[in-house]
Amino acid sequence: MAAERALSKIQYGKETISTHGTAVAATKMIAMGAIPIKPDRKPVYPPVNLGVRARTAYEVIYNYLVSNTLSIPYGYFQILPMIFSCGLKGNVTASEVTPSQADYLWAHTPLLTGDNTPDSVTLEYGDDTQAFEAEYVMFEKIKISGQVAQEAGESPVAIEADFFGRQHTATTFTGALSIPVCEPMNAKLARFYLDTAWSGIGGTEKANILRGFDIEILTGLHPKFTGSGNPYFSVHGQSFIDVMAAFTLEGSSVADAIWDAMNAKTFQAVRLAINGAQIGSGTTHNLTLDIGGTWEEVIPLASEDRGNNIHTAMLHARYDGTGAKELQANITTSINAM
Amino acid sequence: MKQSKEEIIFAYVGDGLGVPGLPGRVTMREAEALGVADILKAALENGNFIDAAKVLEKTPDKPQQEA
Repeated sequence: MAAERALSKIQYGKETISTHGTAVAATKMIAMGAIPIKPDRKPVYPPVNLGVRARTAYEVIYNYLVSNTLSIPYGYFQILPMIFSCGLKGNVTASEVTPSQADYLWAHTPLLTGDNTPDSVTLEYGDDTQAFEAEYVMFEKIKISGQVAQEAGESPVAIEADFFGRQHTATTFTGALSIPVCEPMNAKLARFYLDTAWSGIGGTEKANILRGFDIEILTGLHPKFTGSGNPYFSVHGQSFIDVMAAFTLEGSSVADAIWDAMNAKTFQAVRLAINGAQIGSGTTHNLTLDIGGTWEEVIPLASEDRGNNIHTAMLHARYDGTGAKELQANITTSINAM
Repeated sequence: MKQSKEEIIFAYVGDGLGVPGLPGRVTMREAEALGVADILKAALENGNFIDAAKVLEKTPDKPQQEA
């Protein structure tokens, strides 16, 4: 056996917040396809003139940085706590919604005025020939998207999470981890709510309109390079949190009202809720994203499907002084440890 | 009659769908025959497999969620 795609895998272990960057053994596998392992260092070739027809005789590597994307085209609820903990809001203790039913609520709404104590993980990825380890992994961008199939086709919810990490080290996989339980996210079970104040968030569902969504969260997390004894970054920074939410909507009076709201700069409190199966006899798997903002670009008649006009609408999140919010993120799933 | 170490049945008690390559219940002798003894040893170390005789003691008080 050598370098087989079938024997490739990705797994992670949660690092201790107080010792970000201290690599830990993996504890969970991720149900996703293998990703290319991009180099963590790039040689620079300083141009010099040495009396020969060669541009240089040297190369220098200045620093290390792992930069890549976890791409999970068939997203599942149980992976969300890890991604949101290492992106939006960390150090979250899940709480059981229904006693003894293991339906755990993860509240990942980021603080807008305080420290979000993001978690970090050590990733292990590779194949049966070589595994690589990257420590101090955090997510700088989280994208959640889905399209509702119109012809009884598949409607997965894709998760793409751009991450940075310290460095790659050749390693061996932590062995014998469990194959994860996955409750798939289904775009067909996504629901769209539209209100005009945070106080009414989730109050008004707009039915028969949502065809697709693409939520992009820029977490603001970034590696900080400062002079030190190592070529890798020492600490991370937190910054602005930006959210853009693009929706594909069935043309209707509701979609037209969104055009009017854009023109009037009317504040919008949008909820996207994606539900899954019931957990035991408790609540269902769920991802709820609440986004406050205004419509930045609305395009009626953007496309057509079998005679139906399709509109697109892009919500630009912004802070709302009345609700004192920009984004709320809550996950309910069957795990209580990321 | 005392059971030999090689014949002790180990059972999967992790929170997922099993460990790749390992049957849900397996002895060390069977694991060796399957070429997955190292995986079983790692699974015993991380607690995903335990002596099947102790499974009842470890059964969580929460109901099983997904099959």
